[in-house]
Amino acid sequence: MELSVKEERFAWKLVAPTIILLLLLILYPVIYNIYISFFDVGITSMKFVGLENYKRILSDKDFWRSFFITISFTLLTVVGSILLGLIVALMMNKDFKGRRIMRTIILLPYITPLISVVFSWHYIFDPSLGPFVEFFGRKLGLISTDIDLLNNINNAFIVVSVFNIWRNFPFVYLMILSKLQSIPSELYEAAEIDGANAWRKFTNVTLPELYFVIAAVGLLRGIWNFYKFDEVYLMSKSAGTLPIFIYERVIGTTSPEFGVAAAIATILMVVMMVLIGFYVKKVLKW
Amino acid sequence: MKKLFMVLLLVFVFSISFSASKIVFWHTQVEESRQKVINQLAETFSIETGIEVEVVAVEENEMFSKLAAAKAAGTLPDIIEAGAETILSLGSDGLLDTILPTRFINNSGWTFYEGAARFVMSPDGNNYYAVPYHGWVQGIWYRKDWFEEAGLEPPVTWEAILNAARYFNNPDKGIYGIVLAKNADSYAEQVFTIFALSNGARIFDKNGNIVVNSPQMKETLEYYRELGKYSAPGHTYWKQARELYLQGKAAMFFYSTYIMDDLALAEVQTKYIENFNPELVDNTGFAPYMTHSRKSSFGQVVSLGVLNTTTNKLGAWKFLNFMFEPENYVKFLHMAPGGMLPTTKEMAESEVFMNDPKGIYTRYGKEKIMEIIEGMSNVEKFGYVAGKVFPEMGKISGAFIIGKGIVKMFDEGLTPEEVLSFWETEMKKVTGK
Repeated sequence: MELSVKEERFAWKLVAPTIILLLLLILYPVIYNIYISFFDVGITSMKFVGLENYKRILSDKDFWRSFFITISFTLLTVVGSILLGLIVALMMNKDFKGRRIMRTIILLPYITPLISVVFSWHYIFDPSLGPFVEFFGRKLGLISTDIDLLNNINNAFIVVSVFNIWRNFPFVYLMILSKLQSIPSELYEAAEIDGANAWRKFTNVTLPELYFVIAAVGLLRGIWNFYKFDEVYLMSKSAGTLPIFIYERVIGTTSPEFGVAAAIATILMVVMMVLIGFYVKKVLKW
Repeated sequence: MKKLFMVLLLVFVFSISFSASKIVFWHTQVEESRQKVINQLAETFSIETGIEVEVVAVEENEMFSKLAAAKAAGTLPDIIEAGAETILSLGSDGLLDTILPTRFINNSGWTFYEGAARFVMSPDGNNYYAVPYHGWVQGIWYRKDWFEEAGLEPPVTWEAILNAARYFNNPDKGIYGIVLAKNADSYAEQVFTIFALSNGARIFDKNGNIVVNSPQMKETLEYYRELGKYSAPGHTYWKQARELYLQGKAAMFFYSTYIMDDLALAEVQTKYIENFNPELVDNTGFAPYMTHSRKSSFGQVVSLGVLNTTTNKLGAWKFLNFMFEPENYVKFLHMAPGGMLPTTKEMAESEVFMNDPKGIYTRYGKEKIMEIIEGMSNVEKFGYVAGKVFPEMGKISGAFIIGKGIVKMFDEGLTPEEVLSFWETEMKKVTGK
């Protein structure tokens, strides 16, 4: 047997456990999910209904509302956390006293357990029990004493977006900072010799160097936030993104509609695959 | 290899023979301390009868999705402990055995409060879906000392409630007249129910039609909105209610009898406030009913149901009998004194029940406790109209439609008429009417 054939076989053997696990843990649920999306699944019955679930969902205006909220949420938070992460990374790339401790502090929102952060936010902004309204409202009289920033359904989208950006920018910052530190200083020196000012150095050296990091981080954050459930649900359920929409159809109800939820999940998967395919081709240029 | 095979075969045979005398019990008491007590009871049961009990704690909200998943996987439990709405929904889906509970309620020798038993009655009125096990009553808890000082009537009528809320409300000082329910959750439905029913406003008529869009309901919403002006701000629910009251920052709040230990015990109360207030028990009054055009109470009855898929009916029957044995029953009820009131007359009147280990019931006195237990008999819910049962209410509650409408009224400024048409549309949608 030729060496290359042997090596190839060996390689397959090495990846086989991973592939089997992936098939079991990912492919099977995905296929089962697609399968039940064609059924009306009640607590006692399972009836084949063909494309009925899809028809119902695609003609449900609450679904489309949630869909566009989710798209806006994803766009806003991805762009927001990248911008904030980029600015902070650029600042932290400069040498100054206390830089090391600052670098650690910046990571805190990302590494603190979500549930404790959410509870702190809810406590701080609670209009009757929390210190925010107590101080700015009742002590200083700057704001109304009955303002419920976090829960009011008119604020829900903004609150959830701001929270997500705040919580996740350290991840972006970390990725960008590590790339920043590997940009050779010769590039900047050469640019300086050519008479480039700080802004030109940023647009002509830093940004092109960061392009793929930012694009990759954008992709990851986009996927995560499109399916984001925990942060949105815990912060403000009334934000009404799609994962919450699905949850309310299945778990938080006494009449779970598994078939409909499976249909939504399948639709989301298709949408996501198209978007990712487009992104990878156009932005990441793979 | 042969040996290994033999061992595996033996294990397999044993597990099969064991599973025949095993029952699976799902309950909704997820708190760790309560799980311990229930596990102990299960152990005692298996020592006494030789029937093993697998105990599983399930969040009440997840009961349905878990049951549906278990149904698909063929791992349904034999017995469940769940609230009236869950039992009704399961019963109407044909998942519950009615023979055992009916026989138990009629022939076990225990006298069940009719007020509790009617919550688990099948719509034809001849059978029971489950056996009522414990329950609570919800009402307004208020500062009796403040009311007496101000010369105000106890908050049992709409007028008295609004007057008192207006009188005590002082938001600049952080004091609120009342803590109303204004969040899209089941607490909002619980609180709103008593207002609506005390005004004769219903969701179903006796033929099961949705009649939520009525002048009585509109009047109730208008009143609720007015009362909201004197309530703690924001999406308040039981958490703010409990904390503001214990901190002395609210004159009235809605809570079930589960609050009794928070009011009476230092170690519970100091979880929410720094210094224990020993006078709070005596200074707190409880209004277990509300009157406007009629009198109404609100509460919950939690029951034990037997799934009709069980292969171990004898085990289930023995388990029911075991759970009502006085020494086991009282152990269960004392997990949450106040919150878990008995559903049989014999237990309610017994000495052992009054002597809970923390001495909470003696602090309130037998008379007060009996009054609260009697209150359970007057409990009303939207799903029960003139002796008829409408399990569709479970779907309305599950989708938090009432709470969502209340949030829209307070946050988006929807008028009561707009809330009513929102409710009507959503309720018809989920019930398929």
